[in-house]
Amino acid sequence: MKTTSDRLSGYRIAGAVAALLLAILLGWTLYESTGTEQLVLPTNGVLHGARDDVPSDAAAAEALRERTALQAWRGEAGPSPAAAAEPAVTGQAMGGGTDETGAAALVASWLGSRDENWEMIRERGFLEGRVTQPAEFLSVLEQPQGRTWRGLHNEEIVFGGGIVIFGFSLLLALFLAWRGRVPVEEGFSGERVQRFSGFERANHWVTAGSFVLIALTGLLLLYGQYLLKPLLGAGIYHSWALVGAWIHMIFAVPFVIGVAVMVVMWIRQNGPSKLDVEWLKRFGGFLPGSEGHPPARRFNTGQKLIFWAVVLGAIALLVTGLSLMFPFFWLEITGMQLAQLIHAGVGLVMIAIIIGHIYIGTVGMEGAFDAMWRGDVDRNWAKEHHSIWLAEKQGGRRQTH
Amino acid sequence: MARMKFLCDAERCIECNACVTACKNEHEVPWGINRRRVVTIDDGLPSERSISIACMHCTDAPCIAVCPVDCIYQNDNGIVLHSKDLCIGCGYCFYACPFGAPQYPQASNFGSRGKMDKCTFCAGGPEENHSEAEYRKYGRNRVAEGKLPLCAEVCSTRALLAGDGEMIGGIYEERVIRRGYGSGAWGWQTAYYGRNLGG
Repeated sequence: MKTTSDRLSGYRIAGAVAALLLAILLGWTLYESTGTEQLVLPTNGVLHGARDDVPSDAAAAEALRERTALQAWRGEAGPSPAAAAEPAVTGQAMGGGTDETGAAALVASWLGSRDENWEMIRERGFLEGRVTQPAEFLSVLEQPQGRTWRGLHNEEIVFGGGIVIFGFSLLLALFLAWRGRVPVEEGFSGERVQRFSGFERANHWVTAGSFVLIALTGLLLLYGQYLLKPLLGAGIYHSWALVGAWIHMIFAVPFVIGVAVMVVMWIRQNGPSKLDVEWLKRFGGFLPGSEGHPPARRFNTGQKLIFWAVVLGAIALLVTGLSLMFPFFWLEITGMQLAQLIHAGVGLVMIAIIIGHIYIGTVGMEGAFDAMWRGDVDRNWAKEHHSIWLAEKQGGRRQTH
Repeated sequence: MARMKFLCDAERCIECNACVTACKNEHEVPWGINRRRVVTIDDGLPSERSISIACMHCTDAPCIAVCPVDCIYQNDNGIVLHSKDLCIGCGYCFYACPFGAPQYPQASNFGSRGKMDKCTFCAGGPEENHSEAEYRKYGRNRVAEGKLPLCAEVCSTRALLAGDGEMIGGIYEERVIRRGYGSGAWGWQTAYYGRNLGG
């Protein structure tokens, strides 16, 4: 037992360090999320790119104003006013080339003209009509909710994802620091019991690998512009994002097939039972001071929860993801906006859940990783975590494939 | 400094679609893309109105805020432009845009939409002015020639106004006063007066 506790302390220190780092990340996310989203400022060029659209040209602005004046009310019919000479051809793009403070002042002045125009402005509202173009989604004239969607996407989703992922990881790290690795209490027996067949494992790793790629590319699209783009530059980040979007879509296929196979293989063993109530009451026996582990069949309640989270999450991601891949195929604008928000939200929660799954399958519990990697587990591990399954397997009464 | 805006006077628009056609021709817009379109509200009812709509070049533009690759930007005249070199065709700008302005060529299978295309206020894009590359990607750059968007200049009833926001606002107000009626500037509150103002 002495050697075991020494090894445990190493994990506990690692857990404490990870918890500290995650707490800092979580705090940073929370701090960032408190401010209101900034107004979009004119940049006269692609952000972090050259301000290449700038040349300041007062003459060009004057030419455009002169041209605008040509549209004025003409009370009487007749030839064009004499003032309507040829406009000054400048060959220059328009723009003032202001710095960021100037840009902020500019936007403030734009917003400030609201009161002058107030009388002639219509109420905002969702307006839909009819268009001659053969594209139904073009018939929406105005959807002010686009601005709401922008806020939800840029604040609730972006910061919510950080809070969920860092927050959940922090809980895991704290648990590791507090409790250490969940040991095999009786020690390893040296005797192995077959747990997952080669097919089950292959399917698991195809699904897992696909999920990791999908998750990373999803995070790239959501956070890359803040975290990676400043490092890579606009051009290289564009290539990453483009390749990432394709990886995200292509690997959805093996992921969905993998989950479907899991459903076929494992759904009967993942149904709820009375044992689950007992397991939940005792929190799976993971807490210190709990007397042994509650009995379980092939899948204990924790594993059942992962199973159902993955299955339901995958269904939600599949439905919303297909909707996004085939825009306006069956959804209208509101539906498309909701599909994107649900897709991002469910995806982020799934990532947090899978981080928990990876944790408990590797660092969190001694002897657990063998089950899905080698396919067999130590008899004592099986006895602690899947007592009924082991008894049935060894008793040979029933083969739980 | 001039803040460029569009304004469609719904009492004057006769749904002739000349603006749509002129735009397509001027910029050689690809098949299936409509930088400008005319929407008819309450078709067949006494309250029927047609409104020509394209990118409104919003203040605090939501498309710029949501673009995951920051390919859209605004210039000091309020014109919202974008770089087709950077766009990945994700479609977010369409969900955010209150006016359905961004369009996608749907260049390939699999839901990939190709690079976004939208109204440029006839101001080209982030390429050298009047260059072949600019014309191919974004169309004609009339603004650099001191001209306003063709859709507005071609409008036979002067329903569609384009140019400095204060001036076209003034022109519209004068019209309303003279003729004694007007349904207001469509979309201006959403486009130019932002999230938090005048809810």
